[in-house]
Amino acid sequence: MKFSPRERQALGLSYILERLSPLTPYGRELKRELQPLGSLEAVQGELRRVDTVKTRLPHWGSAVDRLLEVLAEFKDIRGSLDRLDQGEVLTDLELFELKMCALLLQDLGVLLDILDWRDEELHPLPEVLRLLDPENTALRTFHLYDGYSGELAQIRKKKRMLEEEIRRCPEEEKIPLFQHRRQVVREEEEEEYEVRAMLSAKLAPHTARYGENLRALGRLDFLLAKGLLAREGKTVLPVMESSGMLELQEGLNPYVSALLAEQGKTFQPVTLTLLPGSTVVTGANMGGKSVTLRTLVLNATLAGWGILPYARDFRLPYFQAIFWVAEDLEDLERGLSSFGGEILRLKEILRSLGKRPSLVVLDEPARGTNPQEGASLVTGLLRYFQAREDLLLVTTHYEIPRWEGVKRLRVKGLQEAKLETFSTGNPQEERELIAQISSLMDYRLEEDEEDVPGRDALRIAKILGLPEEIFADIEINMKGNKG
Amino acid sequence: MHLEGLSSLAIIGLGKNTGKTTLLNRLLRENPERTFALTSIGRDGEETDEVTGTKKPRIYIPRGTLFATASETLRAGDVTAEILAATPITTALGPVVILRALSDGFVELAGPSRTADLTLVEKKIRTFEPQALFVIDGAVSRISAAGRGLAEAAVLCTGTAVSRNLEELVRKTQTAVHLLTLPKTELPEPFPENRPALFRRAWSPVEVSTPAGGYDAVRDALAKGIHGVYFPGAVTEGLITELLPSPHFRELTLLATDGTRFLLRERLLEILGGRSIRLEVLHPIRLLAVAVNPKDPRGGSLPEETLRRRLEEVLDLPILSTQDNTRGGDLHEV
Repeated sequence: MKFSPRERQALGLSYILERLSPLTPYGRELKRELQPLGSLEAVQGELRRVDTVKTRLPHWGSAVDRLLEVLAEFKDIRGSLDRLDQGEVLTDLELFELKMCALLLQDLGVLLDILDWRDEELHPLPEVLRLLDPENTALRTFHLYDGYSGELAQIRKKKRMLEEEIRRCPEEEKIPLFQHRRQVVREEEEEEYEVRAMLSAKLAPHTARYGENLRALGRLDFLLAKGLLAREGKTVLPVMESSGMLELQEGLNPYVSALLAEQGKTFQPVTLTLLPGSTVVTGANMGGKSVTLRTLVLNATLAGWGILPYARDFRLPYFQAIFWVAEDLEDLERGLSSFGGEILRLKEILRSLGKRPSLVVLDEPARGTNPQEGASLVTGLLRYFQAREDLLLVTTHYEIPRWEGVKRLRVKGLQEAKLETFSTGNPQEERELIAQISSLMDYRLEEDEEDVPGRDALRIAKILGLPEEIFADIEINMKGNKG
Repeated sequence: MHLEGLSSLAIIGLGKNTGKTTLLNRLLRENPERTFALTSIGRDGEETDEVTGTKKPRIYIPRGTLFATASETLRAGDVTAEILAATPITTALGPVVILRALSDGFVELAGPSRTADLTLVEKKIRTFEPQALFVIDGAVSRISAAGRGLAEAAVLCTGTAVSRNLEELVRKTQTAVHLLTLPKTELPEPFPENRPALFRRAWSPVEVSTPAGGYDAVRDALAKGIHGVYFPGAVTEGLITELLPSPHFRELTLLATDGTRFLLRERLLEILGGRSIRLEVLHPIRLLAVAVNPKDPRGGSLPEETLRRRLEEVLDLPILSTQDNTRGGDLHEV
């Protein structure tokens, strides 16, 4: 399930992750470490929580803005907590940050109460605040208060009196006063160190609790980010079970949608059902199969990560792993090494299969070989998986024989009705033509019940203006092959 | 010096050891009723000058003063201080922190170096002390703070450390004052503000391939009817030298953001003058006074009275002295 950056880009995963924005260092860390959740219960729980946040967000209104403001203020103080654990003495600035963080957690608690959002793992830290705000001023500032040490208070009093004398006296007499003050400053520094050491020792027992709070904060931040993301598109709470079939209803791919929108086109939602075992898809080029596969993989991956997928409905098993192998454009030049690489990849996949079902999506496997061997390899793969609990989806150009036990699908293709009203031979800009042909295509999948010879490729070639003589030839050939 | 009604001030040094710190200490001492908020561009108030090794005075602030400095410089100061805020501005010496002095004492200042960051610091400071007099301490050669309206007014510090020859010192100071107080342009503001542009009836930006790639694109675009040339950053001698070969580089306005961007010496200014090229700025600086330090810490000094008189003759500004042994004495540690 570990996709490379290029794969993430192609799948549209990067596009979505860019829009997932936790605000605290702790939430951002969770995003960096994003991976499939460890159990079915964990995923179901997280998805449900995200869905709850998504549903409640509009009711929360502007309180969310306040929440986001507070979250944005948090800094990473774990370094200081570690130092406390090691018995080290914190600096003024570190103590200040610890106090601020505790106050922010308090603010957060208040906000969550207002939103009626229960988080059992966030606990206030009254002892920490008491230590760092001994005079209970509730001010968001910090210094080593006189109240911490009678000795310190005395030293500072001495210092202040010297300073007042310095202000009053004539220039010539200042130097000895400054010298005396230097001594008092040293005493103050020493006593301040003692106070910081005392505070650090008293804070050390609270680091565990503090750390738990920060982890809870990170989860909350990440959850909120996921909820906000879920509101930005048509997302759904998927139904996940331990095994069984996958049913995607009107699945969307925001990345591809955005790309198409730039060209003035719309995205056709993907609907498909996969049963455990093997499914094969055939269909014309330009048939949108690749996008269909990517949309499937995208949404299955998101669901496994605890992020709401983009669909009207989505039902899927809890996958042990998701594999996607598609044409790497760079490999076109590499010939054998590309095929070899593909085989090795397949070998790896087969080796990783385990007790729990995996999703294996192969876009035109063995495409670089001759039709006979290619078809055999693909057939072999289909047979290998047909009795397994894993879900295999393969697209191919090759002619695959029919047999019981493998589901066959195809892309609907050029819409007959629209085709009639289409071209009457107006010479048009080539790029425009292709765009227009796309609009004639129905990219949805349908059951491939019987062998209907594919015609779309030739039709498309005709529309694009391939010379008549070639077609005359082709017609003869096709008739000939039919025998 | 009249600080009433002023909310921000830049202290600009014409060079090192020109008495900026002495001036600041004096301002602090002579205006006890105002709350000051201090910062510097880069680092100041150090014990000894890293370069010349001379003993530098440190800034002595009264109780109640706010200051913004990099966290690691706090150790060097001896003021009892309260931390008010830790900004997200990072420097080589740690994040910039805003504090309030709870006692009198010495501080070392190392503030942010970018104008945008200084604006953030001022904003944050005003949430604690809205009426504070915000003072920025920095050298002319550093990123301009007095420009872009960040500080309402400025004081230029000059002195024997700039030149031990009286006439040369006067001349250099005069040039500096002239550049700092360049007039506000009547031309409209160029947009976008971060690219060089030429003005015919309106501003049109010029594509410069790389920042260091030279301004020949600008030079080549100069033609009859161009009334203005704008540069967003520093206008250096190197830049002018590239433009000079163009026969059209004459009788026009050379525009920069503010007076601190013109890093030109008298000779080049004369050449520009000879070609009827007017220097103008988007943000004029209000120079309140010139402070002069007659003593060079490396040794040597110039007669104070003569110096003052000469400066008063050529400049239409109040001249202050920041000499050690006057009442405005700095506070060396012994």
